[in-house]
Amino acid sequence: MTIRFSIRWLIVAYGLFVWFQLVPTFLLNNFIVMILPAKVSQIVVLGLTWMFVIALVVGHRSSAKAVWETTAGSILYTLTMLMVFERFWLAPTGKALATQIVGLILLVGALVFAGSWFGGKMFLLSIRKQEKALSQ
Amino acid sequence: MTNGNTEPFGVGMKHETITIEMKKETAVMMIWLAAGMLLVLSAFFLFGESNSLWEPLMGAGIAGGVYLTTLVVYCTRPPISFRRRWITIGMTALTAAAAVVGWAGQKERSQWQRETLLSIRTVIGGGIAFHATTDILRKPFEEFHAQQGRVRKSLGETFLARYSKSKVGANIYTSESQGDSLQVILERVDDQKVVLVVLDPIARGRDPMFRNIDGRLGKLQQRFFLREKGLTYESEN
Amino acid sequence: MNPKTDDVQPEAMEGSHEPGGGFTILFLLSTVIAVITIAAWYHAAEDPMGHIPRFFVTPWMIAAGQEILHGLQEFSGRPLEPVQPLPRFLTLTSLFLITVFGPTLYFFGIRERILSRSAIRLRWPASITSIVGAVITLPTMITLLLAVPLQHAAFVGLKEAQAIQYDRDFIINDLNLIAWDIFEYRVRPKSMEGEGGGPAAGYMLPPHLASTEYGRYAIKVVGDQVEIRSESRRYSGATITASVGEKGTLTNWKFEGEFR
Repeated sequence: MTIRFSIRWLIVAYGLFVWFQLVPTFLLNNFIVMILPAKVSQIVVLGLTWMFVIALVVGHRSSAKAVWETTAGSILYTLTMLMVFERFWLAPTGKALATQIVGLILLVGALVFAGSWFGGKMFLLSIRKQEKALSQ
Repeated sequence: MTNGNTEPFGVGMKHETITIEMKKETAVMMIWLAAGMLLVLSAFFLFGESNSLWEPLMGAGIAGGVYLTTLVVYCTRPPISFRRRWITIGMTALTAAAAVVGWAGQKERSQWQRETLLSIRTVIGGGIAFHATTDILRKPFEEFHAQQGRVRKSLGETFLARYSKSKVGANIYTSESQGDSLQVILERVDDQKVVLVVLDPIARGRDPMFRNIDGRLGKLQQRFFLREKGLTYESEN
Repeated sequence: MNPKTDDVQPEAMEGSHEPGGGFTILFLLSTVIAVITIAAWYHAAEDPMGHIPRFFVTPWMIAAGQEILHGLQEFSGRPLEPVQPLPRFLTLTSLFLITVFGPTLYFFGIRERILSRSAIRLRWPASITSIVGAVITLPTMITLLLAVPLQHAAFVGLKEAQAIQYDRDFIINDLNLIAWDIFEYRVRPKSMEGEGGGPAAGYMLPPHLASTEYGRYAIKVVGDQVEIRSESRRYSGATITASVGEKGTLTNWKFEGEFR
């Protein structure tokens, strides 16, 4: 089994996490903080859910070709948040311990992989439906 | 059919066509952006220099709404499907409605907060007026009733003995800070009573047309009467 | 193909190619610039409490801020200042962003994507402009829809809190009146009314002070000390207790219930 890893898709996936989560968070911070739950764990769950949805979209729109790249991009994005902003989305982490970083990365990686895989599967399903419709 | 390249002619030619269309669309988009910017800008400055941002915002918002409506109708014209067109228009209308409700709500809230600030100032002003007046009258009242013997000063005399520099019609209150603009005006002093009129030039009174003692309009004003039996007061505004 | 429901005739879906080289470089550059800009802003403007600085507000929030600023100016007796150029600029920019710039890029991007028939799956994302348009438009849409019920609930809470504060302030004013009345009772000689003179023993609250529009009041005289207890008419369990000193000053304040 060969796994092709596209650097271009990695860059695009990383960029999409930045543009679709980090940038809107800062653009509309004033509103987002109004709907934010109080507990840090809930903020983390919300952030992870958002990343899952982005992964779903990327998996679908990339025609199931960028599952690994999306996963790697999400890990790079998470590291950017932790190192540069000392946060995971809006949840403050401070100077995170190595174990926290590894745990978070594994969680993010797993969720995003699942999301982009599902997105890809949804795309392939829609292709089959259209091919079936065409053949009839 | 191919010519040896990976892409069939048909697709290649379609690519050329698409490229041209994209470039034209980009130019069209720039024109739309410029038109929208001009429209919103003109509507915003139509109201000139105003004390509030609501009027210019309303004008610019209406212009922005008109622009958005025409934009959505333009971008969803055929060959976009009927279903997608109306879903897009519906979502845009829903969002615009939410924006209008949010806008109106925010305006109501901010105006309520401004009103509340002024009401709080009035309540505080009333409390400060009472406190300042009783501070002035406490000692004379105490001294008057503490007198022993047959020869006693009247209430007015006791008051003037303590506030010898006070003149009728003048402000006898000493400001506690730079921002303290309270005035306690000695309106009348006689043997039986002392009348003080307290004016807060900042706090809003009940009646905006009430003529205050210093000629202002609509400010908080109370009148205090100190007699031998005690203090009474009237809230004049 | 149904023209009412289908946008385009499905072409052979061969699967996607990689994003173009030029696009990838441009996208990487713009992403790095975005991260650096946000990081610079974040670190420059973060307050000691660790709150993330506000980067963008809707135009009506800026206008509301101006309204409240005017209220504060009136509160402190200052004349109203005309609106400064910066809030004007911010309002205009924010309105331009959410009604013109974002939606134009977004809707043109959607149309471009739909019209690119067989290229739908060949290149995605289609362009940076469509991404930027989506980044501005979609979060704006979601937060606008969510903000309406949330802000309404917050306003209801604020009004309730303010009503409680009002009640508290009026009761404090009443307590000051009672404190002065006790002071007068202490100071006036016994001959004036048959009671009083010196300590507060024998003092009784007059009816117009025992019950007012805002509260009910009771006093407890212990030797020379007088304690006043007030209970709000509107908010059950909300009480204020204070002691009256010799000179009619109030001390030992205690606030319970909603007044705490």
